[in-house]
Amino acid sequence: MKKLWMHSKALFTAITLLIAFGCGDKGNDPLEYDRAALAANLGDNIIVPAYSNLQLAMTAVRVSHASFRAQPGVTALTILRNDFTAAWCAWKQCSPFEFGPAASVSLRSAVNTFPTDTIQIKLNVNAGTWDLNLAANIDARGFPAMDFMLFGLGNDETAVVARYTQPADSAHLQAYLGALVADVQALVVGVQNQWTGGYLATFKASLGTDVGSSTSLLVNELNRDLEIIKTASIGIPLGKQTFDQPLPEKVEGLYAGISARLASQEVIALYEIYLGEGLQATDAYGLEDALEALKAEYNGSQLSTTIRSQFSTTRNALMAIPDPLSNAVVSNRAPVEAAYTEIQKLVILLKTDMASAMSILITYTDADGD
Amino acid sequence: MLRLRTYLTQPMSIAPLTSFRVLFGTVMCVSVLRFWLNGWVHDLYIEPTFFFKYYGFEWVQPLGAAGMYAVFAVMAASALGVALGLFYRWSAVTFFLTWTYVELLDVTNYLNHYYFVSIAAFLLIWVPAHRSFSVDVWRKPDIVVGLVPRWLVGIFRLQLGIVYVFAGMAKVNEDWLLRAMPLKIWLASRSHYPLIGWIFKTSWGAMAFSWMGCLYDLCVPFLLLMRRTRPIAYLAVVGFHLITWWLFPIGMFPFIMILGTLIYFPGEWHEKWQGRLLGLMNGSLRKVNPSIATAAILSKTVWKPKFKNAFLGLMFLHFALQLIFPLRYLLYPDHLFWHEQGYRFGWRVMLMEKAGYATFHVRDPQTRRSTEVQNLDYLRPNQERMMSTQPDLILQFAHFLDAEYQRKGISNPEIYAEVYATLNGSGSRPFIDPTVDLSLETEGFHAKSFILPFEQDTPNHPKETTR
Repeated sequence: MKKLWMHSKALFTAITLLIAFGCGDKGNDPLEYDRAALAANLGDNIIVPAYSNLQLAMTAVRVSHASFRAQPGVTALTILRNDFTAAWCAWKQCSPFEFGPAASVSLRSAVNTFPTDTIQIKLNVNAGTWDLNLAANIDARGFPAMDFMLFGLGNDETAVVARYTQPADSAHLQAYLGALVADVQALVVGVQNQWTGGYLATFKASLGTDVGSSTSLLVNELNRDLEIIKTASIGIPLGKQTFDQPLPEKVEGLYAGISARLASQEVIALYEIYLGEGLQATDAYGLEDALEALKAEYNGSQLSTTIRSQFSTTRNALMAIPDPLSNAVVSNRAPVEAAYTEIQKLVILLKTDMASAMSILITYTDADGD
Repeated sequence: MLRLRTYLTQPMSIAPLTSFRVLFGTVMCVSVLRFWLNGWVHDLYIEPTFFFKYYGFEWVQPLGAAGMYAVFAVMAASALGVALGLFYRWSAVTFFLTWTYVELLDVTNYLNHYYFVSIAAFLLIWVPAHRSFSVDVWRKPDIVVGLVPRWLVGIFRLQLGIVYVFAGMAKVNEDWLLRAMPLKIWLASRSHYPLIGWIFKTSWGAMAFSWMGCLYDLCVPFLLLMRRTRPIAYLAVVGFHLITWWLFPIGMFPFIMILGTLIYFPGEWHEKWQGRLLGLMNGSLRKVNPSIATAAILSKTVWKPKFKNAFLGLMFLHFALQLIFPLRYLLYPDHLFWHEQGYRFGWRVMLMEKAGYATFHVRDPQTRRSTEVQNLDYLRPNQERMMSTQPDLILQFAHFLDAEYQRKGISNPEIYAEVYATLNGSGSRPFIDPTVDLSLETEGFHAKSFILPFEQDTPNHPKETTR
């Protein structure tokens, strides 16, 4: 009964206050964020440039692979490897946008399913013929497969070059590598064409907060991407799902040994989306600005700045992991554990506080509520 | 008292009841078909491998793809049967059972208006809503009655009134009335809406909507009861529910209420419309027996319950429960919206913006090593979302994990939950005590001691002093 009494007291107080102050507090600025500016900045300055950047990077890989194919040697391989690593990092800028055109071709799983299946790759190469779109080849394509083909066929450059110059299967190896490069490039070109050929306009025009609106799609996929980093990139290799038994062979970028770099690149990409910074590094309208405009709070401080500082802490923690991650998860676990904890904190902030403040449901599907 | 008794037993037209039957059956049939066409039968009842059970109803199990589609087909057909008044008792019982069965399958699908549908369907079983304006009367004209005691229609008016008044009482709290929460959050992200969007971004706009919503819920059943205020009250009903339908994803609920509250209108009003409708049908469909129209409206037979005392006893029990059950939350300590003990089945509609994130750790007592669970290995995203903010579901999932890891060969696994939640923009904070082994906790009506208090004083989460 005490609660009922307190409720009626609250009602009474509220009525008195309302009468006393007219229509309540009028001092606050309007609570509103600029949806059009957010969608336009994300589409024009972040998403579309990220895809064209990736496309350029893939063209570079294609060119350097052509030279390597024509004249296999350590120098050509080194150039190809550098271009490949740059392209993989460029992919990290696109990875969060798995909706619309990218979702329609399942881009994320097509180009970045890891760990790669080396047995399947060898089967394909030996057969000399393959269809990368088959379900069986989902973990024999994309960047992780190229990683194996460029770094995993031998212990050093000379050994890898030797494989590509052996008469026995060098032709098949070269053809498979070429097919992997062409496959990713074709997918990226397709997605980019869809963006510039109409989806960009759709994205900029769908301004609600409902399931399917651009903000909702973006925030949902941003969260999903971060959870993939947490689970697949760091958690599983660290043994988070196997009772602390590390699984170093599950890292992303196993053969190139660039796992921590890839993970930090991906968090940086998410950070830039949050800030609204495009590849030109100009801070335009981002999610941070939306949270600021909505005056979202976090236990007494501003939510926008709390998330910003957690992003930078997480990025720094990931950059502090020495590559290769496959060694660190076994013999130098502390920095990996630390990074994992920071990612977890960031997930909580994005998935509960940010989504809640922007009134976005993290469900990926439509449903009734009440 | 005597006057009240005389008033309640006075005969009145059966028409409000028959209209309610037709409208309710129709809107439910549409609801079920919409649910099916949206693919939700598959998404919610076939695809999941794990279902969150209601306490005491753990034995309710899904039936597999063919079985579930069959249940929904029967449900749609019986709703249509209710609407037409065809094999009415069977239809009403079947609809109540199939609907309630499906609702009992998974707590994460709980919605207040689904609960209301179960109750309305239950009440319809016991009343003679098919004794006029129905196919049953056309088949068997002698069952027709024109008049029923006033309390029979009153049952439905009272039930709707309870829904509104409890919904209104739930809004009488600090967050809703003094901070305009959660409407402030929800409306701010809808300021691009045409015509009235500009109001949403102002703080007085959210405040005004909060107060209007609360006053509407508290007053509307009484205003609908009185003849002088009824037209304006019904206008408010239509306006209020259409606005909520426009703003929020709340499915068919607005239409159920807009059509359901017509039962507050007097018998003559319903008779007039039923007569017009039948006239229209007679005009276009020549074969319809005109006796349905005339017999129903002209019949002066008064319906009497066969087992009056049993019937009244059942209704007394039902309404006593309706009035007491929503108040059980008073028995639990701390903030209701935070711990949600006694939250469901209390007409708490659109009351809070809450989001959570739950990570479960399974610890092997032999090796003293822990492992993290991927919730989505077992749950659908919507189930995970609902579970993350509701302690009883967190406990239930922990118990499932206990059994699951037992099955995987770990004897007596310990289950710990690391959960963060934010309520009405409070900022996320620890929700469940991460040091409590949930496999040892039991479900029940007792207060759950593993829920951390809403106001916390930790270095990371300083106690708010602004309240």
